[in-house]
Amino acid sequence: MKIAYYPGCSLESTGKEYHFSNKLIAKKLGIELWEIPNWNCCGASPAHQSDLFLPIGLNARNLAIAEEEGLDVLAPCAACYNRMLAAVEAVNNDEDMRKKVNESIGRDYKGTNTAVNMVQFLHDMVGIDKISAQIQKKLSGLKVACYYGCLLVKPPALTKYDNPENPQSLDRIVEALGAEPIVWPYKTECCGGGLAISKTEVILKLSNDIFSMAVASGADCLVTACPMCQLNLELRQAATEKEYKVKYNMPVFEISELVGLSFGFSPKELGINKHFVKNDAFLKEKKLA
Amino acid sequence: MEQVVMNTALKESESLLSEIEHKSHVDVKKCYQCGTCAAGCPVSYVSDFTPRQVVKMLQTGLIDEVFKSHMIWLCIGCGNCVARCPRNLNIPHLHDTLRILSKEKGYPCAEKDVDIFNDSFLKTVQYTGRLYEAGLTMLYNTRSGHFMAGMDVAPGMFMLGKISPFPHLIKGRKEVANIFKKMREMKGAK
Repeated sequence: MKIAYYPGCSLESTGKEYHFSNKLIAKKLGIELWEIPNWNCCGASPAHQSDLFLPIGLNARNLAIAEEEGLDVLAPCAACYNRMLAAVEAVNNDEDMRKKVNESIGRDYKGTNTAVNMVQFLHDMVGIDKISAQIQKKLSGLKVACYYGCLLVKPPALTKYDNPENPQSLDRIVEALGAEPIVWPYKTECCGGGLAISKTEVILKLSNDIFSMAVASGADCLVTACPMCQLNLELRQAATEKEYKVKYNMPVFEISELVGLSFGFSPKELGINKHFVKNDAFLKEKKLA
Repeated sequence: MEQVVMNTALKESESLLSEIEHKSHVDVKKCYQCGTCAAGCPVSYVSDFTPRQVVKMLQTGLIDEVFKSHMIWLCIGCGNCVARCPRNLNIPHLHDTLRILSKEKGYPCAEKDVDIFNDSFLKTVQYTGRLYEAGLTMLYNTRSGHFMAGMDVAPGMFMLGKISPFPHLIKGRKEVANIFKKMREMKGAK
């Protein structure tokens, strides 16, 4: 299987470990990730909050390069994935918009391809069976709160993926790896990533809500499929603990890191040593390192 | 039965409201004020109005107040509201459209830092093709006056090799610059 791969800006910087682990597990699964040459930023929330045309133009350029290669796009960042889908929809629903977009990018984007997120890719395209076949080490004893975040499943009319209130696909992957996905109600609550710098106090409150619910539900770690959620929840965890006088010290993994661990890769190969919440002792205790 | 006369605010706001509805593709008249959006909104606790109130204000012609509100700048676009709305109103997109229009019409911005952050972010994309984290921090901190923003986490980021002092310059920057140019042309054409 070959798919266009759009790392997005985070995977080259703050979410490097997600990039490493995606590439490693793809190789093991026999999938070719064709990185879109000279891809540009999707514009994230600043673009759609500032202009109605800009986010469509920025995403259409990347989609057009993949379309020329005849490929759909795997976007491991939930925000990039969401923005790409919005661009595909805008171009397909508005002929005038398509014309303006194509004038600006100097390409002929037809809107024939689409974007998939990392969970969708692993669950629907690769399949649980193919993943299970590669498992060397079951992640037994690991109680995982599957945190989908908002943009993987919302808005449902756009993503058309899983259930916006109680999604299951990530849980099923985690279960296949031998870990226990816990039942908890904050799967798709927002972590506040978009306001990380301009309104940091919002994040502290939202992540405190998320972690306290995860702890109350019996989780010992979180798993995400978005570099913004992962970074946000780990990077500001110390400040959250200080603000709310609690102690979580809870690792937040990317799904490809857990898949990678079960495939027998070492935490270092997967980049797990680059996390902000130190997890050496945790992984040892769970016999994963 | 005596005909109810629309109040002045509502009458005066008619053309502005139709512009908002046309650009956002959101028909605010469809909202029957159930409040589900407000209940699930993760940022209404820091805001002056909830999304439900914003829609009600639009329905009753209080558009000036909406344009000056904090909510249109605080909305993170998480989609809780639209996922749960029984009338399928795309409120995040409505908020996006409202901030774009309020800026175009010269309204004072209720959350300056959010605006400066967005603008700084996009400047780095416009010139390098991708987000330039260090450049964004420098631009944001100097323009917002929060000189130490992010400085608590920056050393850890550098230590782990997660941010670079240099931008990622892509080939195709001209195409990216053209997208920004087209955006300005379309703004000017209105």
